[in-house]
Amino acid sequence: MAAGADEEPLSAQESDAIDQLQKIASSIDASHNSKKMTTASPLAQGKKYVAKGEHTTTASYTTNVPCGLLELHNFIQAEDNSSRYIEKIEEAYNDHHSIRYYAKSFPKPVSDREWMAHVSHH
Amino acid sequence: MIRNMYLLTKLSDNMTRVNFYAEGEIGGYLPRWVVNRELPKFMSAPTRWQEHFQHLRALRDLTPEDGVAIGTMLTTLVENITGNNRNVANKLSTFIEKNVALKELKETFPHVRTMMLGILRNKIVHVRKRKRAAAKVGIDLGPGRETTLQATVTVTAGSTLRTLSEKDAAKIGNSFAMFLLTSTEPKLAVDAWRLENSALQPLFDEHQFFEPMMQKIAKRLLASGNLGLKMRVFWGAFLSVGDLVSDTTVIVSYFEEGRTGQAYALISMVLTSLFFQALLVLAQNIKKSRSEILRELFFVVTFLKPAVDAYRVATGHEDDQLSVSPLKELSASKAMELAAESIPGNVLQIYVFITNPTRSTLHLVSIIISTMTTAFASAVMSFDFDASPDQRKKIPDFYGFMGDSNFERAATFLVMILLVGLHNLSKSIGVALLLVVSGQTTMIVLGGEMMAFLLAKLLRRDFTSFMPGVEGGLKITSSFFMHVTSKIIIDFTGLIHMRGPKLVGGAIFLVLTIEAQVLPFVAFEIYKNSDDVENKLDLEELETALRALLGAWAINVVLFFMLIKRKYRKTFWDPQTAWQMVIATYKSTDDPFQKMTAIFTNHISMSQRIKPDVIKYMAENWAEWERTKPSWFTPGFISKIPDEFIPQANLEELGGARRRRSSVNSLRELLLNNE
Repeated sequence: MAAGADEEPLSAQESDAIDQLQKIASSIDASHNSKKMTTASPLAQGKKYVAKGEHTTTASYTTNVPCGLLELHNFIQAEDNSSRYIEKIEEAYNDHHSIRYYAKSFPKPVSDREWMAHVSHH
Repeated sequence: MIRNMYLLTKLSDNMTRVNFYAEGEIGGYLPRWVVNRELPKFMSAPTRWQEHFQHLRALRDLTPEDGVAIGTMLTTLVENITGNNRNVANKLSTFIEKNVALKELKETFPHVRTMMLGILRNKIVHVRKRKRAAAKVGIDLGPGRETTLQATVTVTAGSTLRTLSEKDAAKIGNSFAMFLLTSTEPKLAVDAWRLENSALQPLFDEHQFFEPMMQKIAKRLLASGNLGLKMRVFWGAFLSVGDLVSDTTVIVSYFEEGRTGQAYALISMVLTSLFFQALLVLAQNIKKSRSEILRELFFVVTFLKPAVDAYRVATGHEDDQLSVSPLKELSASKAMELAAESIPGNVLQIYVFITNPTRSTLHLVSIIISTMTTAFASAVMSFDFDASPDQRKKIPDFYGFMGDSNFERAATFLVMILLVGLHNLSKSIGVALLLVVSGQTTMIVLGGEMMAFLLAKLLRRDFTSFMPGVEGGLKITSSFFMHVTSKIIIDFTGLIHMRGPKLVGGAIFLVLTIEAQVLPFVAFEIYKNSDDVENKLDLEELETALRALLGAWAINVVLFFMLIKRKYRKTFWDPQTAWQMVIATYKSTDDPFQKMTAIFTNHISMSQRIKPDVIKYMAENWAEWERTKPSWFTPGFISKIPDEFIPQANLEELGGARRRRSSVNSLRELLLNNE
């Protein structure tokens, strides 16, 4: 996750934000109790982790997208222009790192829940 | 609340890694099925992006990894579609329209869509074809009555991709299903399909994505419930369970007849086989958790392992935590079952049959089932190794004796089953006759044969087993174990794969095979002239049976040599040893992959005589391999290379003396270091 030698180094604030995100990831990565999980496409095999005694489920997978980073970032931004979100906040740190939050309404009878997506690129 | 997180990392100018994480907290208990169903929906974005950008890749830029991705995407078109081929056709047309590379490919191969459609339909039975044929002669076939087996196709001679007619493209595509049906693993099917259709060669040669794409398609079509897979798993399970049932019945009947000694002998053979299979499972899964090992052991004790192994090989099962590939595990498992149970069990049953005053049909049926199990297992092993594209690429002068058409392969397979069956019966009858006369004589004959064999191996400096990185006491023990097992298997099955210089060698294979045919006649003479044997078999009938077995075996030998490719005939009597083959393979090729695998996937002592040449060659080429990163030049492969072969500067880059090496002195080390 470290920035390349030719790129601008991450600021302290930026590093803190990334640390927080990585904490979520590390609970999955470090888990020895994970199971294979089918993803929406066979292109990637996911794994999930159900914490015993807690009501959370975490899941993850990694895949390689055949395009440049900026190209993908632009594509994601264009795709995110959807009216599905009831809240959309972008917090830009600099030109190569941002975190975005979205909230999406769930159909009844499930009440509205926060849906948050973070995008970090460097 | 559901939190999603994507981490995007630049891998190269054209590749971005996406790590996706999702965390769901619903505020209370959530049934597992809801999690399993809903979670993937929240996680679809990155693969959707991957598909989008995959479609945009130009033909000239496609790598083998792109091939795997396109193959996966293409097969998802046919998943969840049952019985409606039109849907597949429409989806494929849309796919090709979206895919820049496949659209470009249409310029040089106009009917690529037609061919791919035939492949993805994966039908042995082509309903429309039969309907059209029936309609021409005025017959109306109602729904569900149409069946036409797709025969081997003949494509117009001299066709190139550009001139290939739509009809021929359809034929080639449709024929793929038959190759999947008659091959034991996806790679074999693709390779056989390529060899059968020379018009396709440019696709394989000029587009590095094409072969991985086809292999992925083959793998996923096989895994999605293909008839061939079901047949293979069925036969694996049927023969295993059939053998178990017949053995159990025979054991019970032995107890009833008061032959407790023989009953316990047969039980101990079954248990020995299970013990070795359990050891194999432990070794194969040493890196896995206890629960997974227990599951594998469960397959062993329930006699389901052959079916599970067959399923894994046929579906191209991949697992990084396995010590060896599923194909090697299947072969080792079969070899252990043959050596510990099938072969001695058959000899015992024939012995009891000969000495039993009331020879029952049950005993005869059990002998036939055991022989069939042995024959089928041995033929499958030889077939799998010879047809394997990996083996053919590594040692092209040894693997590849079978023809490339479906007919030639099926016929060779059948002849191999008959050869093994007849060989097994002859040798087993010979040993059983000797046992009837005298246990001591039998032990002297068999022990003498084994001693002579081991002595021949030692005198030819061909004793060390090929396993790379094995040193010390383990080298001697594993070599001894390998030679003894190989000798027993060849004696009683004539297993064709065993003729390899790394196992027994062509010349010794020939001697042992002929000896197995001579022994029953020698044993017959001893049996005939013995005054100690009571209740002898009808000597005339027995001699006739032995002659019939020999005659049938000889006919099959002739058929076999007519079927196989001429250039491989010499491998059946070639006196070449393992180290001679390693050196010959190294010297006879310019392909770095073949050269390097010959040296470093075999025991290093085998290439001792050419060590300076190898060091010089590697010094000249190492930098180029580092730059171009050929597919075989992996960290796992490099760890197999002893330090003295790596150029000094590169060795230091790899960590010098501290770098990870895979030289081992114990079995546990060997298994844990296996890449």
